[in-house]
Amino acid sequence: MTKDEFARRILEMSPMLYRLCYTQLSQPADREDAVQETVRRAWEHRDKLRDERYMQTWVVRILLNVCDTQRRKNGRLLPVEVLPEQGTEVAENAPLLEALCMLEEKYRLPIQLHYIEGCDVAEVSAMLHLPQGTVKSRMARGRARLREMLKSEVFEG
Amino acid sequence: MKQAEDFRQDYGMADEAFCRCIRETLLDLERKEARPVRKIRWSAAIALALAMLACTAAVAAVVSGWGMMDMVNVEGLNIEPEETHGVVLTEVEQVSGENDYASLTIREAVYDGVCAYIVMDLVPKEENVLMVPEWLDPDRDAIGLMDCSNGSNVTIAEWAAEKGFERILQFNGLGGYAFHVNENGSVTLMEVRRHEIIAPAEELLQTTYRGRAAVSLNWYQEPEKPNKNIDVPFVLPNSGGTVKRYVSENATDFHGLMDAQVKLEIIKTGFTNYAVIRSVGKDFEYITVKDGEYLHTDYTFVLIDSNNHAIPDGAVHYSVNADEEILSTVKLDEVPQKLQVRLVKSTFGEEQRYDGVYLTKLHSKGEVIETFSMGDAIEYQFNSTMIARDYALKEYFVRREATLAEPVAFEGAGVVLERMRLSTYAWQTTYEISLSVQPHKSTKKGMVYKQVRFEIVDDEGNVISNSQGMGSVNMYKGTLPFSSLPDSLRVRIKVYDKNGMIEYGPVSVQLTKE
Repeated sequence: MTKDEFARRILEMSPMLYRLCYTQLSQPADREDAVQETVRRAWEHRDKLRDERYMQTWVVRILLNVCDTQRRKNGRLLPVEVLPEQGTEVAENAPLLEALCMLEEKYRLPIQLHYIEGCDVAEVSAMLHLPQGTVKSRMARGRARLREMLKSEVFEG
Repeated sequence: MKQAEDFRQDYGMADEAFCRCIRETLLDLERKEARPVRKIRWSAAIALALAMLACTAAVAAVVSGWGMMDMVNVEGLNIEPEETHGVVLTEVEQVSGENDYASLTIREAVYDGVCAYIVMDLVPKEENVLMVPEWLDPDRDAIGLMDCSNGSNVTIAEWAAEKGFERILQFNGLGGYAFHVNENGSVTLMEVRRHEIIAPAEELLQTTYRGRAAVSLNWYQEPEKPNKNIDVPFVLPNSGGTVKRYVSENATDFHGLMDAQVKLEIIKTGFTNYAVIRSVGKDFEYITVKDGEYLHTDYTFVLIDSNNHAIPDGAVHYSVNADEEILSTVKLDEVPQKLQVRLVKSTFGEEQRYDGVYLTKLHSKGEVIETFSMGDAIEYQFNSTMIARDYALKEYFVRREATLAEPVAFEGAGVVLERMRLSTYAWQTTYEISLSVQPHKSTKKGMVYKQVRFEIVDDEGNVISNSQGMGSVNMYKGTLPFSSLPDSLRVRIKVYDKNGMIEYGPVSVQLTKE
């Protein structure tokens, strides 16, 4: 993969990376750190990508790892005089997004990747290192929980 | 029915800072690749030598038997070996598993009805292989994060090469552990697992813990090699000895903040002490929040002692949709005179603290006896600039700070180092600086440099740490390989404009310790 191609693919993915960061990390600064680290790791280890068709799966996997690391770091290292930053404004009347943000991560990620980002179950399975059956069952449980939260807003799989 | 695109729009557009971050990272990576990089700097080489000395000491401990007591004390439990006679299990049923990459053996374990402590050896099958957790990046992260060398900034990959390791095998799946790197590249790990359900005190001694130790293995930078797993099921009988349990009679809903009620327990086993925060609400679902507030709200349970000090490691972040009965299990080094649970709610920087039920030791003729009474909830609120999680952490980690004694101007550059703050934690020193960047004479009016790089250097001018930003950005932060705060630092800047790079300094800056 050429440098230009790599950059193009990353920039194409940036809305998706943003949405994933949004639900994984609450602070804008953390999201920026995470995406920076993700791009850096993807660039430096791009020779590990065996099939360029799976670049999106691979980059998302890196991003989720980085977000996980970021949260670990946040739990260990916190400057005293940092005020919590206000998150990016969410569009009004977005009950699903609000409910999704409330959902536990193990249910949220499969639903977000499948229904919002359009990844198929096999891709989600690869991204989350989970068997496909587990992905499906988590999506089912997650949908059930979302139904409870939303009452009127219902997904159909 | 909403379509996926509609839902995507709910997130809004990626903000400009996020997009700029991606673009600048891509540009920066391309620039870095275009110029030759010296892999090991002199400062790094010195740190490497120190790292090797530190590791020699650590390895000596391993050779003499790195076991449960070493690991639990790494975890901060401070348990004396004589207190645990007979508690540590050394013969565990179904103790090992292997594949052609490595073997995983459960060597020692303790289960005391509340938590299971499992000490495992993860040993590569081939020689000259270093085991590294997958959440560390060998080419990026410092070896100091693997407890081999305090404060060293040598990367794991550099350290591995220097020690003669030819390959790196990364492992993933074992969480919440302390780990120790052995001389042969293997690691000894300890996992602490909380039992999901804590049985009544009279039944605790009869309970067993059934678990699996599962690890995923992946060769670093060898994409042609497949990932392989090891899965070891095991069963632990309760070896924790006698159990005492104290439960608050009263429960609290933190003045209506929670739908459920919360009780506080102290459980003393033969191994250690625990504080347990338990939900006792019948219809426990969510913390009550106003519409739209939860996205910006953090909830934290904090355990405090009679002096209003946070109990070390006694804070747990609370998820608004948690549905567990046991909300938190915290190990206590010692049971304080009074133990109280506090709920800290932080929204948009404003913090409210709700004090809940507490347990306190009763006195009899000046002596503390092992009986606890309980109290009702009280509430108070105030604003604070301190975020909730930091409240619990600040007293746990020794932290010192230093600031710039006075601003330093880089003559001729139009750049002033206005503010600098160093913070030393147990494992590293971080710094933040603020540079005032004025328009440069050679640029058009109103323009600033294309890029400004800030460097902290040693006496020989070798870079210890650096950070950089666009000309319009004047906040920088980074880490330093120091375990204590220096009195002064040598710093320099490099500014880039259309004519190329100009270097200013290094100059010595004095720091004032707080």
